[in-house]
Amino acid sequence: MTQTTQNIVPLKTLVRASLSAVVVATILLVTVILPAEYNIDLLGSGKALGLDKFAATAAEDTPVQSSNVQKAPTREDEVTINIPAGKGLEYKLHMVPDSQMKYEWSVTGGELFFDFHGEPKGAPAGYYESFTLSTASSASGLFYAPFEGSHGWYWKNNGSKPLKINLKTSGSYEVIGLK
Amino acid sequence: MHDRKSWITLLAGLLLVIGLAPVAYGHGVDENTRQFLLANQSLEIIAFIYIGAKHMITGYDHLLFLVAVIFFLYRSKDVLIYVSLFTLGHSITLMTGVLYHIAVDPYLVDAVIGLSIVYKGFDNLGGFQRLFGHQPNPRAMVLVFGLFHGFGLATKLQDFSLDGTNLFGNLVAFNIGVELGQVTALLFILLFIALWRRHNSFLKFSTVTNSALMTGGLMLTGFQLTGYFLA
Repeated sequence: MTQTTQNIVPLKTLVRASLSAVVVATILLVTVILPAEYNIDLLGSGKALGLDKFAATAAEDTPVQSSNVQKAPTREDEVTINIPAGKGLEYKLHMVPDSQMKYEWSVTGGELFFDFHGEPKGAPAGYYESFTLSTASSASGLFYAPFEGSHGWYWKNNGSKPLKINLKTSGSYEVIGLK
Repeated sequence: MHDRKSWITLLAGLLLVIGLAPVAYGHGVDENTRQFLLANQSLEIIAFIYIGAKHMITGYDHLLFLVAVIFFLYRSKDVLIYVSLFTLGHSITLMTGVLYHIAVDPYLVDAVIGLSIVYKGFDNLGGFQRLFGHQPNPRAMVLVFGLFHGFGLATKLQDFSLDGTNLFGNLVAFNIGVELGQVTALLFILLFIALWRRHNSFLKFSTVTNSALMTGGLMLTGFQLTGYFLA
């Protein structure tokens, strides 16, 4: 019944093949992969090979995004958004780094789960950063956009009655609106 | 060959379980957490097929495992059986993982995926018979490691934070994409191995190749485990 789906090698060959795998893997991990991927340079080989640069630039790159993008003129808006029972909606504004926006929203007669978040421009679909995640009947604050992209709220009405949101915003942004 | 019969029964049973599970619990999924992201609300069949296929074709960990699995499979029937078991395994965990939001640490899953390659390279050299006098059932092992590969896929897919209503359709599309990608990759691997087998160098270098596969698997494991401990 057993069919050969392998090549049973002599013990000596097996041991040699396995040990060399372990040795080669360890050497490459320690000297190349760990320095390049995690900047863990146990033997200094990463520096010698110039592989420490990846990790260094990756660490520098992430937070910095120069803001030579034009800020939008300041404006003021007030909108009413209806959220049916059991449904969720998103309202977004386009903002550039360091532009600010004052906001205030409230609902009467219930609470909403909300996620105040931003999707960086050019980021892969589905990527976003949450700033606030909570359940409340109102929220207000002053927001400085950390990156260019679409910023705003996702509200979810988990109750059984439709709710009406009153949202006031003012600052430097462009309205994208409901999504 | 009662052995084959029991495998068919097992397969049928498992297929039944995946088929029924979403029906039984499906409507609870919609209410679940993490659906606040609405970046993609619609049913995007082609897009998800594409993402799935791309993930498989560019996923060298899955490909190395496939190479190791079919390395010594000379008969197309065996290739079909093993690949089907792998597909079954990863489809189960891909679907259930995403549908029930089973979040497994991606580093640990990927470390196990690395180990699956080490296992198969070692097994190809008859390591288990040599050292322990007993080989773990290779078909069962392919199924089990397929389950881990599926968790890996599920974890990647959950990064896309799918919307509740169209989750199932998108997920099925992603899974189909994964299989299309796998078939495409497999064609190339099979073609290459079939050609190589006609030369003496195949047997001559089979030990080296499997040792190299183990090396690759060990590096992946070490890479992922380091990531796990740093995170």
